[in-house]
Parts: sequence; structure tokens; C-alpha cells
Amino acid sequence: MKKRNKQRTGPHRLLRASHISFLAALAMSVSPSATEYNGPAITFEQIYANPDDQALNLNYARQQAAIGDYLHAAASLERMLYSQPNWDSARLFYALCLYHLDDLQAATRELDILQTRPLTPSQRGLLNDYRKMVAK
Amino acid sequence: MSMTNKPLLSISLLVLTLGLSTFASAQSASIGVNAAVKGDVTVTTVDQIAKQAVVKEEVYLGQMINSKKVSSLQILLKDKTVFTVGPECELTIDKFVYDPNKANNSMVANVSKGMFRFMSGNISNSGADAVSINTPTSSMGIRGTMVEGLVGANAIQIAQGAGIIPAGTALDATGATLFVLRGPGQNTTGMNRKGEITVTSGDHTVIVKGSNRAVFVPSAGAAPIVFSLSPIAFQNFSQNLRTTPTGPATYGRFEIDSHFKAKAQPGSASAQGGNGAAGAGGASASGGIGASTIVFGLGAIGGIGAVIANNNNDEEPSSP
Repeated sequence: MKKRNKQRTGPHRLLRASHISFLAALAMSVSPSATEYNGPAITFEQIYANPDDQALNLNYARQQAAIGDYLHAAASLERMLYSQPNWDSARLFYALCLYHLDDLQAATRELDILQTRPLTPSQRGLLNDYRKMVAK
Repeated sequence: MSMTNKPLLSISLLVLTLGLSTFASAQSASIGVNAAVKGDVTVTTVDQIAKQAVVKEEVYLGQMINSKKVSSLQILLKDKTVFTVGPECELTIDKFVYDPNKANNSMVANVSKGMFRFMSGNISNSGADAVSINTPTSSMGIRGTMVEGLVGANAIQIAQGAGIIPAGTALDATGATLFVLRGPGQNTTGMNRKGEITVTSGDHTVIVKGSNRAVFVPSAGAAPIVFSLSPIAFQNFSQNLRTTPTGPATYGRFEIDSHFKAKAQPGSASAQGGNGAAGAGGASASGGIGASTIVFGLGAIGGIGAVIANNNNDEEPSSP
């Protein structure tokens, strides 16, 4: 019994708690059927102070992409993929930013990777649309 | 405290003050923060104290950053520049002058070996020579750019694979350098300035524009060779600088914002790679480059390569 309690206060529990709190923050900030970013304005200073905050980076990327600043959107998404390479939604977002930066070779690489990954029907549609645009 | 102890106290305070000021000067100014770390990356201070890079730790001027195999570090600088130190790379940022309220900012970084990726921040808006990345054989000026680089024998391997090195060319196995401009390309649709790099080796200078265009400098003073990076060479950079899924999707799924869908609609100006700003475009959307430049062909070229035509869309040699 004592041993079980000890495990609950260990690093695994802390890691799990931070993972859950991140997912909760993500759920609050990004609805599954998001249309446009309408959250609070995020400053670069916030990102600088919390470069490993995934929810903050995601919203910063959405905010910057919405104004056409794909360069800094892509930089944030690279950071996110660095620590979460299996985050397919972030990778799709990243691929689209690269397309709009006219780095077609890098965009194609990310789209190719996503071809066999589980995406939502809407994401799959977007993937196919951008693949066609890259091929033009 | 007795009167006799007072001089001793004063001396102690003086020593402490001197010690603190020495520490402050040695420590230098913070210029950025470690944003992401993978594997074994060492940061060596100007006092020769080496330690493993840690996320959120400040980056200081003059620190030497060394990465081992399968290791990398992403640094976020105060002007929004993102510097990714790839595997087996050695990087020092020797100059960083940034005041967001001033226009004469500048940065100088030195890469003595290995692979890196650079995404411009605000300093590059100060002018074409505001950001310089130096290697043992060349210097690269950066403007509004995503660029990647490789210094050493692997750069020679890629250039040899591309068949661009003229017979008899002297090769510097430790300092040969390859720069690759990734973007924003000529058809970028956002507010970011079109990318441009200026590579100088000795008396030779080339200006490169357009995604996936590469410049190889075989040795110090040699004429830079401009070519398009092959898919195989791109893969080499990707393996070292980009991420790949390691398992099943495990992270929060979200839908992409609808403006991307709108841009993917047939007939949309931005879907066709137009040159307008997609959002708040405007001021920084274009490069303001002179209308008449000399264009290189798509094949590999050196300092005496084929000059084709007048165009404002490509590259310019400016050797003396």
C-alpha cells in the first residue's frame, strides 16, 4: 500500500498531470472544429518565456498564420514537432505553412509523411488539396 | 564591530564588488533561450565551463555550442530569430545588437562545423548585411530567410554527388561549406519577405534567391558554385534537421483553421501562389530588390557560369 502511494507522488504522476493539463488547455483553446483563431493575443515575449508550452506555441502559430506570418508560425510548429513528432495535426499545419512560404520540397516531405497517418476527413481533404497545389 | 575591523570590511566589500563585476563581464549579455533540446548538446561559457544544454536556459553571447551525433538544439533569440544547431555542429554567436526601437541592429554567428538551420528574426530587417553567418571558407549575409547550412566533409560529399565540382578544384575537407536557401520562395503568399542570401568567399560574391537553391564553397577564396539541391541531398538535411514520427499519433488532434481551406480552393489568388499578402501583408511582404539583375540558369554554375538574362526574380554574381 505504501509502495503504491509512493508511486503516485513520483515523477510519472507529475508527468501525467502535466500531460493532462496540457490536453485540457488544448481542448479549451482549440475546438475540434476550429474555424479561426479568436483567443487572446499572444506576444513573442510569452513564447520567449515559455518556449516549451505546446498550447501557447500552437495558438501563437495560429495567430501568426492568420495574419500571413507563416515564417514564425512555422518556427513555432517546428518547436512543437521537436518534442511531439507524432502530433499529426501540428505536422499538417506545418506543411501548409511551408507551402505558403513556397518551400515546396519541405512541404511535400511533410505531406508525404502524413499520407499514411490517421487524419480526420477534413484534414485528409486539406492534405489532398495541398498535394494537388504542390504538384501544379 | 570594533574600529580595527572596518578597513578589513572595506577591503572585503571591494573584493566582492570586483568579483561580481568580473563575473558579470564574463557572463556577458543574454541574447536568447534554449527552446528545444534533443540528445547531447554542450554549451561552453566564455569561462570554459561546459554543461548540457537545457530547455529554457538563457543563451549568452560568445558561448560555444557543440552537438553530438543525433543531437540538436533550437535556440530562440530575442529578435525572433530561430537557430537550429544540427548534429555534430559547432556554433558561436559573437555579435548580437538588437534594439526593437532602432534600425541598425546586427548579428554575427560562426559555424565551424556541422549542420544548421536558420529562420530570420527582426534583425535581418535592418539590411542585407545585418545578419552574417561565417564559416571557415565563406560568409553568408541573410535577408528574410529560412536557410540551412553544412560545413565540412559532408558538404563536399553532397557537392560531389551533384556533380558540380570542376575537375582540379581544391577542396577544404574541414571548411567546405554548403548553404541552401529554403524560403520564403518567389511565390510565397504571406507577409514574409522573399528570402535572399549573399555568399562571399574571398573576392567572389553571389546572391541567391528562390527556394532550394544551394551555394557550395569548396575552399577559402574559391568561387562559390550555385546549383539546385537534389532530392537525395534534401533528404540528408531532413534526416538531421527535421522531425519524423516515431510511433502512433498520440497528441491532441485539432482541425486546421479555415483560412487554409479557403486558400486551397481553386481560383483563390493565394492558392495559385500569387504575390499578394494573405493577411496583414503590406509593408514587409516584398523585398525591394533592384529591377535589373543577372540570372543564372538552373544548372550548376560557378563564378564564371552562364549569364542568361535580365530578370528580377533570381540570382546575381557580383564578383569584382
